[in-house]
Amino acid sequence: MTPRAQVVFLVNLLQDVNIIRPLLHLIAAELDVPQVLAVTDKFIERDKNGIWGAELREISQATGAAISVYDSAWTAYQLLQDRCGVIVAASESNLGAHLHTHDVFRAAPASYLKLTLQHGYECVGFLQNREHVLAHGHNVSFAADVICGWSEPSMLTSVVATERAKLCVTGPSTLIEIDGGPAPARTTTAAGLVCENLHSVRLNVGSDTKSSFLGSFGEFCRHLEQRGESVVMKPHPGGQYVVKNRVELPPNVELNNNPIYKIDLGGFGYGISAPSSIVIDLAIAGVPVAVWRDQDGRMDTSNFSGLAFIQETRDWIAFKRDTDLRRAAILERQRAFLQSTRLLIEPKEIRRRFLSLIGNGLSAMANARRSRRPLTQAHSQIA
Amino acid sequence: MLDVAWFGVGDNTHFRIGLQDLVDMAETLTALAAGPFAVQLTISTNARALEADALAMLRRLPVPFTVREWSEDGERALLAGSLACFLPVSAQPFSIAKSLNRCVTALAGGTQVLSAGFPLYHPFAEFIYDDPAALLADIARGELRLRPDTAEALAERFDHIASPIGESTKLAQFLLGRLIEKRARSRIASVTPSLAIVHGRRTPVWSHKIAQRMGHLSIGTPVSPPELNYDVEFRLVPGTGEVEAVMTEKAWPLLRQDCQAALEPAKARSGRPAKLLRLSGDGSLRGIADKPFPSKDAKLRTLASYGAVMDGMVARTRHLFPGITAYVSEFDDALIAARGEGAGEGSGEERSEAP
Repeated sequence: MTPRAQVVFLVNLLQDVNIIRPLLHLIAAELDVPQVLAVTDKFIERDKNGIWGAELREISQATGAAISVYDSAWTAYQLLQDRCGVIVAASESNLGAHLHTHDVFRAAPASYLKLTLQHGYECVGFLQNREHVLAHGHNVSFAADVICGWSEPSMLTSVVATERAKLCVTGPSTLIEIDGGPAPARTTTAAGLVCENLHSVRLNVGSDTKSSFLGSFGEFCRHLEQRGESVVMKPHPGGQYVVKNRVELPPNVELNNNPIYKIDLGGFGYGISAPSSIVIDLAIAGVPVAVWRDQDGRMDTSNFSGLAFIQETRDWIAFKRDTDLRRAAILERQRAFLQSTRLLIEPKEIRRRFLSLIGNGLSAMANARRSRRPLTQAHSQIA
Repeated sequence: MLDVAWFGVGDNTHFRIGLQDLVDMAETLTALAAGPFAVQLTISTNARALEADALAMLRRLPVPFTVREWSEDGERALLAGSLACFLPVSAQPFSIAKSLNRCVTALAGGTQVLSAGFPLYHPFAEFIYDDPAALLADIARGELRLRPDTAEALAERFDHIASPIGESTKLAQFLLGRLIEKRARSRIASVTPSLAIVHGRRTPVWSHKIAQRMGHLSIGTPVSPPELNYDVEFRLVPGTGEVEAVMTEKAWPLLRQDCQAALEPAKARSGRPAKLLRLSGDGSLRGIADKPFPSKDAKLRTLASYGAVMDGMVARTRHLFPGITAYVSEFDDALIAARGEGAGEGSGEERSEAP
């Protein structure tokens, strides 16, 4: 009997949705295999306003993926056993925050190939900055069989020796173009996009970092207001610092909490963010982007070297002016930066690599289940 | 394909058992699967045991397996659908002290038993396997150890070591035997009484029995139930208000020395030989002695005289038996209050008169 194959996506953190979504669409379009969104009970708890649950339902409708909720390794195991295939997690490692996916990977039947995706440019276990190291250490490991990195192995300096052999460079799943999907519509007249990830461990360099960012942002907004301009503020999907802390935003700020894939990044004239993957997204989208760093320069921004850095409010204003005056030069500099990162950013190549990995994974697992006597035969031959 | 079952409690908070034993002794399954048949294992256990660590550990099993959460129906279906149960037992003290339950369940469910590790199930040796090669050989011969021919012998063995009625009868015999033995011992052991239980109006029979069984004095009063064989019984003499203390041979040696000479021969209520001591009464008791003590339901009248009587009897007990601590046994809250010292001290089942 050939067990039925399936692709199971573990969804635990809210930001996982953005990472796995293109893969669900890709598999639905190219592979004849059922898909399951296995959602942790913690995800539902975190999704207080239901935005991401609605996104999952939308994905489920578009791709035919079933949605199941699990609250323990055992309940997840019951979705997996007696079948085979591929399990994908957007955030999985031996860190406490990833326990609910890590445990499922550890427990999963051997009839599955387990993939962990790099879920950000700077990402624990793949490419860490100094604050990641201070918070989590150097030895982040995975229960996955394959870890899917964004850039060439030499650039992923935080992949420890024991995990190196698992590394497969696929590029960011988020760059896969979804067939027939409508392009995100431009919904604002604001030229600027400011992103906050103030919850991030990367900003843990001083007690005044968050207020410093918000202070400069406020002054920048006043500057824009005088000129009759507005700006879009996008909080990190999981962090939601300005929302959770009820930060009062100036009147010319539009809060946009939509998933990133529903925002037309290319329509913005410029972007500003602390070190975050959104900086890479904007650079790839051809939008001039500045990386904010604290005034004392304590934050580790080395992985963004080559991009424009801003600190005080006057830098914000100057950068915005530069995006009008010297746009081409900035974009050229960003292209050079992207090249230096050795990120794989060719959508077609990323698509090909994921399809090959998941497709081959499915057939290898199905074949292994069909001929599942090698161990015992080998044993009798040795004996 | 050989369908093999493992069932049982998969974990324990103190001992590494269950699924750990299964994985530790999985070599037996490797040997079984090395034969002409593929082995498919089904594991049926409690959900608590199926944490990530345990499931990760199961990945080390050398044969394909399915995990099910245990239920009574599930176990029955599993046994019905399996050729054999694999029952590994480790030699740790916790495991070797276990009952034969799992083996009995498996055999009674009609499956072969393949045991491994500690020979806990030795009493069923001729019906079970401890060597996978022997099981494979018997499959090839078409004659397994548990089969219709051997069922009758197995039933006899069950009668001998695994019959619920037989086992409960033996348990009851054992417990009763211990009780009888203990009683005999307690009769032999002579205990010097150190306590006296002075019974009030509502005193339970067991209070009297326990006092006597433990070698203490059980003391009756004019208000206590008359039908008990007290060691000392105080009676009021109508007309004079005097008090008579009738005491058995257990009590009189404990009587204070200066009263010994005044003892007169008498008979206890039971008819057994006893001795009697006459004690002077006092004014309060004279009034009470003249009126026969009220029947049980005349509570108000009992209340009126209760305090004086009980105080008098407790005082006399202390006086007559020096070195013995006296307690009142009274279960009626109103009467406890009537003695004037129980109020506000809770239900007060027994009032300590001791310092």
